[in-house]
Amino acid sequence: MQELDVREHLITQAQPSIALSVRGVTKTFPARPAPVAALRGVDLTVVSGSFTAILGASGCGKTTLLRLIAGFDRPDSGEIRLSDRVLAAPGLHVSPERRNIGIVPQEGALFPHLSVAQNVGFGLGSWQLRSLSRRARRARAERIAELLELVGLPEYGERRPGELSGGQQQRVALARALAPNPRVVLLDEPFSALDAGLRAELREEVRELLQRVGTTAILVTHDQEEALSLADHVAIMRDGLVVQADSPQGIYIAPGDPHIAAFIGEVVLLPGRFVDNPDIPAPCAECALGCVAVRMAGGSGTTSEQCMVLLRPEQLEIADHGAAARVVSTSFFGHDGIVRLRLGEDGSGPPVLVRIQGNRLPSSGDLVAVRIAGNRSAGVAAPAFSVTR
Amino acid sequence: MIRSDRSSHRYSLLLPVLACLLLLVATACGSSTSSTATSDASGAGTADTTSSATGSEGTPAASPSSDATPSVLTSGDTATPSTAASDVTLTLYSGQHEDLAKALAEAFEKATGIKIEVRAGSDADLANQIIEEGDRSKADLFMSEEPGQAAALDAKGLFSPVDPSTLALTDSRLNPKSGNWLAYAARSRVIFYNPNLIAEGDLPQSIMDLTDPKWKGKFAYAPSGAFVSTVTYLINTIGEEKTLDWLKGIKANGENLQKNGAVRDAVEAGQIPFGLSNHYYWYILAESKGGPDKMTSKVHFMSNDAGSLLLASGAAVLKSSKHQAEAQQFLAWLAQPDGGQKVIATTTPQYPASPDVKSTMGLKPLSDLQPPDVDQGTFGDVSKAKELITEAGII
Amino acid sequence: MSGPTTASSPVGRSRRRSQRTRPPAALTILALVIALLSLAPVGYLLLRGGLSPNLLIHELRSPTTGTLIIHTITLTACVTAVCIALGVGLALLVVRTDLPFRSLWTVLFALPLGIPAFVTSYTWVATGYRVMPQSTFIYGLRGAVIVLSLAVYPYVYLPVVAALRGLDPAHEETARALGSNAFTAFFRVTLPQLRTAIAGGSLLIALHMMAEFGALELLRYQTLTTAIVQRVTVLSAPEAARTLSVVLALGAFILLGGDWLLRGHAAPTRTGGGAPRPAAPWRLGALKPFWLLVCLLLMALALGVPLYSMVNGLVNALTHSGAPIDWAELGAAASYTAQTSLATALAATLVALPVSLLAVRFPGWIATLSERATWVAHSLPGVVISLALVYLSVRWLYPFYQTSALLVVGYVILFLPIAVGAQQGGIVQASPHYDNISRSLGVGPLITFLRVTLPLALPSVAAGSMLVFLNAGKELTMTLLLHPTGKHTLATALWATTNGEVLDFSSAAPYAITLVVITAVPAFILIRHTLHPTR
Repeated sequence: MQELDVREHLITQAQPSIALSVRGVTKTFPARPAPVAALRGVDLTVVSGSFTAILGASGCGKTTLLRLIAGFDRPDSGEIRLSDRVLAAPGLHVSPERRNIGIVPQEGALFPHLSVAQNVGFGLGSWQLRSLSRRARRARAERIAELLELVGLPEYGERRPGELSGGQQQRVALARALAPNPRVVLLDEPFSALDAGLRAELREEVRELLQRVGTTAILVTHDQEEALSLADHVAIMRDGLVVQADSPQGIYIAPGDPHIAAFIGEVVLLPGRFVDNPDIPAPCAECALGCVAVRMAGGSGTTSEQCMVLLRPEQLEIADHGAAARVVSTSFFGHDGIVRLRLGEDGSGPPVLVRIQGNRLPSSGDLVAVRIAGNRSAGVAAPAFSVTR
Repeated sequence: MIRSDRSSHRYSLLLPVLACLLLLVATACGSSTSSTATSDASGAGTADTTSSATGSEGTPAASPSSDATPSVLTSGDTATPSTAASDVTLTLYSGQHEDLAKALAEAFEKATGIKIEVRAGSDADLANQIIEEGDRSKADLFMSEEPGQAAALDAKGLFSPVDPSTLALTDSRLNPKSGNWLAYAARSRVIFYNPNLIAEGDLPQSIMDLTDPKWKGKFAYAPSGAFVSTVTYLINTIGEEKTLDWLKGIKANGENLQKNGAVRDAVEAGQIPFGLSNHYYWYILAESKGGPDKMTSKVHFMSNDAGSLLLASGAAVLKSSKHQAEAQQFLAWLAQPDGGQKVIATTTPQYPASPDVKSTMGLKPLSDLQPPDVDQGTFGDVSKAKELITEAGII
Repeated sequence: MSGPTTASSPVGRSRRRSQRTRPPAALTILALVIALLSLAPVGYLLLRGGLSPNLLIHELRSPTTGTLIIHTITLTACVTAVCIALGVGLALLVVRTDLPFRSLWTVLFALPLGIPAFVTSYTWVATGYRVMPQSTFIYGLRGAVIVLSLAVYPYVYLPVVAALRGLDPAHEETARALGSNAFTAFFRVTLPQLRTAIAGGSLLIALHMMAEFGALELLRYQTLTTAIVQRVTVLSAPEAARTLSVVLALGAFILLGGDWLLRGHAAPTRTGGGAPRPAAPWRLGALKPFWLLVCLLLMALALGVPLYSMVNGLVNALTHSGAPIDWAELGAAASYTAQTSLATALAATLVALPVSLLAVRFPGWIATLSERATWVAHSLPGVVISLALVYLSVRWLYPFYQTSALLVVGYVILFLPIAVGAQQGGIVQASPHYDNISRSLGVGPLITFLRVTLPLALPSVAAGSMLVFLNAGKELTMTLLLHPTGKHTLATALWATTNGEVLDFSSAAPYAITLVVITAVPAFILIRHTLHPTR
């Protein structure tokens, strides 16, 4: 995947292996009127040195999972392992301070009563007898300096958390989490409170930094763009389960179901049925925009069986000929734009989204022609879902 | 690398730590007391084992050294012949006004070299305390303001008999028949009236008349110990039923001002024409105002009525005291005309109990008073009185 | 730069769930032990003997008790209501209006905190005799409500000022944008957010009123407590007093239960360390002189009357003959007051911590019970608590009897709820989130408590200690029974000088002034803390 050479001197493990594994973890919270099952049997595998994102809408259980991994809560059943060490299992709970797992919370949560340097040095055993020696203190100071350097804030040691900007606070929080050399760093929506520009910048920085240090990282987020762009592995959570885990590309191209598809990007869903088309390799489905090669995601693919055809807006284009559609509205994003259409001359057909390049957007009410872009015989990988009703 | 893997403490450690801190505070607290005690002893120099007898907690004076040192020195100066006496410190639970109790303690120490620690409070507080303490009481002596609590403790058998020669020194009308406590001072029940609002001649002849509706809103009273004694006296003379009627009448017609001082002040200020109280409250105010002629209100002594009861202040030796001889010595001194009686005559407007000593406060002479005849010991049983008083809704 | 609060608000989603965890057994046991200690006086009431259901029923049926109960409820309700109105009103005046000299008024309004209620009443009675000798205006229910309200309203005022400053003006502005006028916006949006602050202060005041004695005796108003005290001190009928005390304790239970139900069992909400921007002040306009006059008048009544009497008395004592000031006695009493109050503040703070920690971090029935239990003693007359301690210590802890240690234990029982109340706010600020982070950094729970929770909660913990110090310094009824023989606190020394029931303040003034000076120090620190939170 990525270049491993840089981190060779930092990483102690020999063979690339499983850093963290979660097996069949459940967690139910007492609540009124009925108990809430936050996790219903979660499985998750995190490879050493990887950057894994746990992506899900709010309430899907991702934060609960993070807290169980960190050891702040205990699972009802199931097992959590850190490489070969069991952290949590029925009747066993390793307390957070003995897990060697760091956490960067939302908005940093720097200790407001400590300076930046004290925050970073918090986990470096300053309250232990053996750390009273001059050598230990010097080693500690050096480590703090090293980390502040790493996050680009070498001059900020004496500042108070309140004097830092949001982005700076996050960097200090990261330095603090990394200071004790954790096996895994958990990032709990660390960028959600930042403004857009800063967010993108900091994301990049954090990714680079984590790559350099070589720590295994788990990012919890509800932001699909963040997950797809940062992580090299994404686990989608819904209703207390991991419903799909794959590379970002894999998830985007081959989502497990329409909900996942809709969750990680904009989609066009059109009713269709399976057909045999000599020009297009099977399975092939026909919809309002014509025939298209599809990937199966459920259903048998038997000819003439009904299905839903899923397309991405960027797979469609407005062209000189194709299916007639009325423009409902347009959104302009600078680098591209989205045109919302309804099929049919009178605009009574199903809604369709088209992503178009450049700045030539049609106006609302215009009649246009839509088609599937590219050579359809080359096989557009659009997953199909059989209609269940 | 520099990881604190060994920090496997649990909350359970909180318990011992907090306990230790608490203990620390407690010790600090205790040591502040005992350190005072030590400084006392060292300040006294020759008064070697001041604290050993009564235990270190009871000994230290409020003022660490300045108070203790000179007083011990004075006792040395006067070269009292008493030998073992100076080793003893008596503890006196006093319901008397604190300045009087302290003046008595100082004068006694000057005369005999025996030190007295005064624990001041109200009669009932201290009596309750003595009862709760039982035979482990820290008190050697009890000194009350009113006869009630002295007689009550006597009835519980907590007092040693008073030396008869001591009793013989004071007014025989005042000492209880039991002979277990000494009447060392007395106060008379009186009426304070404001001549601007009522003429002396218009005052009721007896406090029994106050149930008449014509007195409604005209007089004030306070449910003090002396008031309870008055009720006890009434029960013993006219019976429970009539007494209850009287109390209900008082409750209906009078203003309950809670404290005798308030009765006096309200009458003096003209808020109300007259009030039932004890004579000396008026003289205390008169003295602070610069003399009886500066007062608007006047004192009216009734004759042979429940409103002119003479009530004794009692002093007694606790049976549980380990210093019986010294404690009896205090009572004997207290009854002496040139001992305690002189102090009382000069520092408080209460009546000295000795017929030979005249108060210097301009009081109507004790011999001129016409109180009803009563055994002061009968004031100890207040069980009926408190029933009636609560039933009438006064307390 | 982001405001100082940004770093302290990451509780977010973890709040709801993390608190479901079971509390550590040691903490639970500790809290229960402390609750038992707090309930010892009630246990004494029930177990001392002489108390039977029949007696209780007889007592409850007697018309006298009925009157006393009605008096107690009336006084408690009136004083609490007046204090809420006064406290919230003054807080609004100094936080939300353009009143001139606002910062000066802010401090002045809080100062009555340093003057004991019995001194306030005493000086009012004395002033009453001097200014309008024949009037009985200041006596009875009316006088008691006026004088006591003026003495205790800061218990509502201070927390409300702090809460008001922490509020986000956006809420009120939104309400205005939705068509509410300034007043409806205040009542519908702001006032509900002040509920916790008001409730905490009023509960303290209500319980205090149930247990007040000295001031009411002077102001000639009878309540259950005055009757209880008089039954002990005048009738020498402790059984009868205990029966009435049980009635009072029942009242306290009802009040505490009601407060708990009304407030909801949620832990206190975060008030924040100050809003990022102040709300636009309400303009007083032409009414400015009127409001200034109101403020002046109020301070003349609440501070002027007691201070004038004290200073006047001191001048008299210094210039006129009379009894000269006993400086040694004064010094000894002052130092003893300072020592016991300090010890009480420390001890109460330590003892309160487990209870507060449990109440905030691990809500549940044990937490609720132990927290509520600490309040009960606050509603009982000092006499009852003292008698309980005398009884218990004479029997089982004789070496402690009549030592400063027992006095401090008594103070701690009496003032524990004050510390618990103050600490809870701080522990809420010290979100468990920080604990989790600390733990994830390899730091164990105990060290986490010392390095994270305690420092974060420290301002409130310190504020609690100050309040306890203040109250212990002022305490009278209990001190009279529990003090070691020969030791005086300033309050008992002051009481001794007035024992002759002379309203001349000359001999009392030096003690009263010293007491005010000593209590003014923590009061001032407390006020500063409230006005300028460190975070």
